[in-house]
Amino acid sequence: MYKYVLKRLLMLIPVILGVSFLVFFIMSLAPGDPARTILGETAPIESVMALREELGLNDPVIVRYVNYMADLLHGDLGESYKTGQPVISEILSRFPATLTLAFWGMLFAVVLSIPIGIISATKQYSIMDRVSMVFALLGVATPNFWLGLMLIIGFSLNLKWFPSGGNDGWSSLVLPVITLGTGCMASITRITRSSMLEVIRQDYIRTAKAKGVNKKAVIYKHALKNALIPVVTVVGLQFGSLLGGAVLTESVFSWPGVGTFLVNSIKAQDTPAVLGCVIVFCICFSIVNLVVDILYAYIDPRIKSKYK
Amino acid sequence: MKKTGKIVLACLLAAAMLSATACGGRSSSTKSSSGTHDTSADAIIKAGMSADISSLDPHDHNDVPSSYATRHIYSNLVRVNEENEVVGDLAESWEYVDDTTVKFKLKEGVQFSDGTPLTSEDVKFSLERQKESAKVGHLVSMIDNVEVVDDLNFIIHMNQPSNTLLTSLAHSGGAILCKSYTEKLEAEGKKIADAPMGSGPYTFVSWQAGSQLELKRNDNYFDKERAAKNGGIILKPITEETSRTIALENGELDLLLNVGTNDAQKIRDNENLALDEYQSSQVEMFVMNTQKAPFDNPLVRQAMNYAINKDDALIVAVNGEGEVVDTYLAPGAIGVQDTAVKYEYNPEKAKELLAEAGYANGFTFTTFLSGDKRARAATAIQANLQQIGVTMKIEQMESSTFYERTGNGEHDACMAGWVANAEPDNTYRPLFYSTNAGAGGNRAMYKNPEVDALIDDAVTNRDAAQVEEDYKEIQRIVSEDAIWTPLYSEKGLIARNKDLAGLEISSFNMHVLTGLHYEQ
Repeated sequence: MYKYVLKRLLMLIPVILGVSFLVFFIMSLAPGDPARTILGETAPIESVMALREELGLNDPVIVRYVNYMADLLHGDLGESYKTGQPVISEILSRFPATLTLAFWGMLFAVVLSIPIGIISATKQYSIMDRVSMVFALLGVATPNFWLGLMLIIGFSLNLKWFPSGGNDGWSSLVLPVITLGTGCMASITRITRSSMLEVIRQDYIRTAKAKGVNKKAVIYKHALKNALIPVVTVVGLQFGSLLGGAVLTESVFSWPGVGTFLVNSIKAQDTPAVLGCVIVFCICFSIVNLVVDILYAYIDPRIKSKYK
Repeated sequence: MKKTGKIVLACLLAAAMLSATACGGRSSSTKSSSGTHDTSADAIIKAGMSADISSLDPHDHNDVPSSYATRHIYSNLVRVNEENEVVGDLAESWEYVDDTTVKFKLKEGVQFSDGTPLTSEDVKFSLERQKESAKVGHLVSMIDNVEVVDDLNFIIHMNQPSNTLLTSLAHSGGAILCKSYTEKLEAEGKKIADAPMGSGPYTFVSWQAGSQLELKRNDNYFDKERAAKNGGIILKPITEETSRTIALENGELDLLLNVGTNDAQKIRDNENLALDEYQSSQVEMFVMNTQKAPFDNPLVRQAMNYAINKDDALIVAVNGEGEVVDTYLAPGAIGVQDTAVKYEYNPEKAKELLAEAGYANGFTFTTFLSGDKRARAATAIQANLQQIGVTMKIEQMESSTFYERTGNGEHDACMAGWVANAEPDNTYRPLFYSTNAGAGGNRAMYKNPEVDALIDDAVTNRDAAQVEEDYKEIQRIVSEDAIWTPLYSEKGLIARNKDLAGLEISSFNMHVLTGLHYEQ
């Protein structure tokens, strides 16, 4: 198991190399001049040239990439073109906000969606099943930014229960968590339902029922554990992508997370900041995937043997 | 199961702790905008902005949101007042000894917020530091050196005569830093952006990037008349336009510095809010590439000016929240001169000019643009031009692509805009000077040695009346050459709680927040 974990962690190196190479070259292919973007239209051409020199933008792309990777090996993600601050500190100052939002958003989604999914599956075609599936469909189809604005208008502007945005205490978490969690909740509900439906039709469940095992025990002890594998996969993937920043939700709620920073950096052609975000995102995503793989082993002991 | 339960519990506790750190920790307030307000002199005023602050080092940024912050923390030698005149800030007086030498005297008794006296050494240090800056160094490129005479007197030696010195010193990049404090901080490996300290009306409290900047009143501030009338200000970047307006409606903000034209009417209709409208220094224009056919022909360019109905563009682009302009600078800009040739909307005249230029059957061209507002204005122009038989294709692109392609002169025409700042040369030179054709800002690719000479004279001539004549002449020539069609100037809109008073509005978006207070 430990060997497996170590192997997976080592595999991060080529992944980061590949991703950083791709992003670096895509950013360099993008039209426009970061120096001009930073200085604005009023700056004379000499100043733009001077800033290009200072930022090292006059060097060939490959030279810039090699320099960047050399710094990265020393744990230095470089300095943001726009703010002049170390990229790592820019990301670290925003990451707790992103992590908080992602965690509570996922928790909200998981706590509600799994029970709903189970009930829908066990009481297939009941009113409860149909209502929850309609909501799941709506949840998947509703754009985040629209839901966010509706929640702000309803619960902040009219009822004045929660602030409309910012990161200013627990109450400011409620609306963005619901916004973010709703989409995830919908897809997890659907996957839980279909997975449970598949499992409860298996022979061993029928056998358990025939043996007279308690219905609850059949569902929660025998069926759920086997049905959880695809659910955990979806939860892991969604949590991983949320760690990369929920851009629209962050923007609507002025949440000071990594997502907004990444989008602003792309607009400003701030290559070091974009690369830093992508690398951190890559590491987070890989770690979440690894955790999901480890969880498989705990959920299904048959998988554990494959890790050896 | 028990073990799993413990793990889950531990995760939840960790998350709760993380949230307590990640969240501000303060209890939030959702007070109603019609509710009571702190009318004391210690009230904290919350202002919303449309973009985030990039740096609190005045030499490491050149953007409006960061300038809001640093202008309130630092002082400059001079400043531009509400009447757009340059007046002393830290400087008591100044005198031109000759065309390249200016003697300054500082006000007595000025201290930084930590109590350190402000001297000529701090001025020398700050201007030399600014000169090294890639972002704002160009503004003081005319300064050769600063000679310290004594604690209060110093001389600026310029490498060439320049009328732009004073307005450049008034730019947020001209902030005066405390030499001993900055050197000590930098020796410790820290950055001034993380702990800014100046002699401005406020002192720095905290900055959470992307979230908020908190400043409190500087009780050591030297200018008692302009001292803060509130206990402090909090600047909050809220990028989403609707969320920004809702935060104001909700009472979470006292002031909104950037109001979208779509929300203007909603704010006017709200009895708890007030909307301040002002003439901005921004102008939007339809720019023709004077180096490419058919726009290399002045008759065609004049025809375009007659064919475009500016009212249509104003209504379609910004719901009519602005005014149409004939001048090449916005009415709110410094140095605007009403000598531009006016082209009244006249499609028949446009057709005649086109026929005279040899385009009686019209022609087809492509306009480059970036941004939805300009796209809307372009569709109005497209419809106008169709009436005279000219087909305009629209190519909308992302802003950096737009700047690159128009910078290379690939465009037939483009939709552009310009925000003038306190120095007229910062507008005339990039827009009309021949060496700035393309990426330098002159997207009409206009090359006229006569205009170049006038721009140079306006910067170096010490005779103010002649400088004014130069600018008048430039406006006349470029409008006669019809290199653009100036379209409209969008109103500046600031929304606030109706009981909040004391905002000092600037036509070039450098509003002063020190006077803000709630009336009894």
